Amino acid sequence: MPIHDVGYRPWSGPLTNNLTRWWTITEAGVASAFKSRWVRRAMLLSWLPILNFGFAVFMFEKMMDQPTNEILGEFSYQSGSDAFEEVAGELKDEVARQVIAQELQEQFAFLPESNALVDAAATNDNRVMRHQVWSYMLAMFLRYPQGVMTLLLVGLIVPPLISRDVRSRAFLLYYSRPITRMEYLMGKIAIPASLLFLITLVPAMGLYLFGLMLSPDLTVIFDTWDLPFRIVGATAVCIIPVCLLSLLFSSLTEESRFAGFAWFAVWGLGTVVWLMIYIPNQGQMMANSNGQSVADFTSNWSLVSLYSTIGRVQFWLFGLEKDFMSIVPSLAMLVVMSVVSFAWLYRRISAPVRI
Amino acid sequence: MSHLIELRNIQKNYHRMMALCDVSLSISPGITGLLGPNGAGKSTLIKVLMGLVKTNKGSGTVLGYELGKQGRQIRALVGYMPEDDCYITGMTGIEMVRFSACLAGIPTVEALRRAHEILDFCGVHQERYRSVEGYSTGMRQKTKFAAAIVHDPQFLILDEPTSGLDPEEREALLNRVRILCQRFGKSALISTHILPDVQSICEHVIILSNGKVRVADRLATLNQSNSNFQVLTFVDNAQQAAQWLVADGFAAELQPDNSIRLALDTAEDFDRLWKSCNEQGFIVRSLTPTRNSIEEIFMAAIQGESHAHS
Repeated sequence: MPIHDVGYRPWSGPLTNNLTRWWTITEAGVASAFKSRWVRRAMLLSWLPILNFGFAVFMFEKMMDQPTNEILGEFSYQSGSDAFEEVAGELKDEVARQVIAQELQEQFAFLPESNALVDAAATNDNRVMRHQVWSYMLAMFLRYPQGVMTLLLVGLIVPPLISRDVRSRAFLLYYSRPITRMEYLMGKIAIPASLLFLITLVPAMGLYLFGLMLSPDLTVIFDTWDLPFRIVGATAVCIIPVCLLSLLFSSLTEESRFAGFAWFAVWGLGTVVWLMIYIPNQGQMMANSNGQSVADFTSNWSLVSLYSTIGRVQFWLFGLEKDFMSIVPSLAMLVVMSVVSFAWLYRRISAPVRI
Repeated sequence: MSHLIELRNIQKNYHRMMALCDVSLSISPGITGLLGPNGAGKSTLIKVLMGLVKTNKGSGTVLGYELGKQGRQIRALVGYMPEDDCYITGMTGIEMVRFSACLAGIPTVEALRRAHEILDFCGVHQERYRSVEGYSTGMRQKTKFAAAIVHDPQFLILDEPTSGLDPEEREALLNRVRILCQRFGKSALISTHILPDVQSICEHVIILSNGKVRVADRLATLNQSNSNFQVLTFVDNAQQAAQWLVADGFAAELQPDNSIRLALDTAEDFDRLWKSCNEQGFIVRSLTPTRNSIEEIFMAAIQGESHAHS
């Protein structure tokens, strides 16, 4: 029994804005997701890679600013001279820059495309080098650890989001409120999107700011001003299709486990098929005279893997993939997939009121 | 009296099936019962009223807002309790009601306070902290009702509100509807198959069948019989009185409750009855016209429809 039962009382207070009403669905969804211990663990785990990349940024800036004895020794050995020109805290010597690139390459040897660091060192401009190295690190950060964590987190949180509403016939509870179907959809999309922002956009921006704080002066902002936009673009390229596709799977069934299975199957099988094509041809691409045609062949097949397709566009956004035309199929596939998923999803969530 | 809802020639088709056919009706303030057999078009009518489905033809207003164009405004003023066993999974009772309040636009902190108040009003006590999935049917009904009224709607649409409730809970829920309508000036449309609920609470009745409105009137008016049958009760000796009336040429029939149902066509018949009773010493307690029960009204409406079809 209530301590002080006031009975029914009319309500005459102010109401929130219609435009933000969908956020209520998002808030409730995020709170519900965080009730799961596994989601909390996955979120925590998703933040761990930033330590590694943060350390790499720190090392790079330190080497640029204050070359270690080890690097100087290496430099002396390679150049055959004790002379080392360091002006105002910046390395001016090409060999020394290459040594730094090698150091970084060794540190990131476990990541593909690490030869991009050597290419970066080939430039004679420290500012360009910094931009390229930061781009590489951010691209790798978003592509590999965060890409895999995105796959896992979406698999954990998205499958029940709409399938639960289908099973418990909750649609009428939503639609009988002053919200539209589009707002319902926006609220649902924003649940995984906001969690994925937390593990991709936020740490990547943090990494960028960390780099800025370690930089010798504020002019670095002018050298790297485009990187935040590239981060936003790369995050959006990942989050939009991923959220729409996973929600579509969720809307197609009453059983969230089927939606989860479909999600992991699409990612897993696609990636396995692509790796089966890519790995045998990797050596040929490096060594063969017709390496370019093999590369074209494998890049065409990369469309079978959603993970690889997103990665290629992200690489292009960070400048690691130079040729725009080569990523057009990937970009087109992501756009088509997003549009089809959205249209189908809208149709699915409209179905309960059509009958 | 101004009407809350006015529909004019509403037609709704689902592909080739006509769910609502030329529906025109007005709903006045108060409690209105919406009756009809399964598939009559009740759920479609409710969805039309809330602006959830577009009509193929016709127009109308709900609470002053135009159907089909101002659905959001309509839904802000309507509290809907769905028929289905529907709930939002992963939430406790209090979370579900608070969530409903937030969706209706009540700020978060106020929504929580109000959700507690409404759950108190609906008789949901400590169970409010349990997950809705574990609720009994009755608890879910109460929680759905709480979610429907948490934003203080002007008009309630209750779809089978008492199904699955035990008699005590059923009476309690109907009482809550009465309180809301009588003390707080709300109006309600109750769609139900439980006819005694309609008889006990509703002022108006709408009967739908095959997508058409068969009956739409005040319940008191419908209860008045058009027949010439009267119900006669005596202080005692009802059995003897019945035998004597039959012997005297009246079409009289003794009912199980010791009342006598008899046909009186003209004023002369009434005079003859009074004289006979007086002469025989039968003391009349009451003489009232027979009333149509809601079951009779419903069956007459439905059978009228089936006769029309045959």
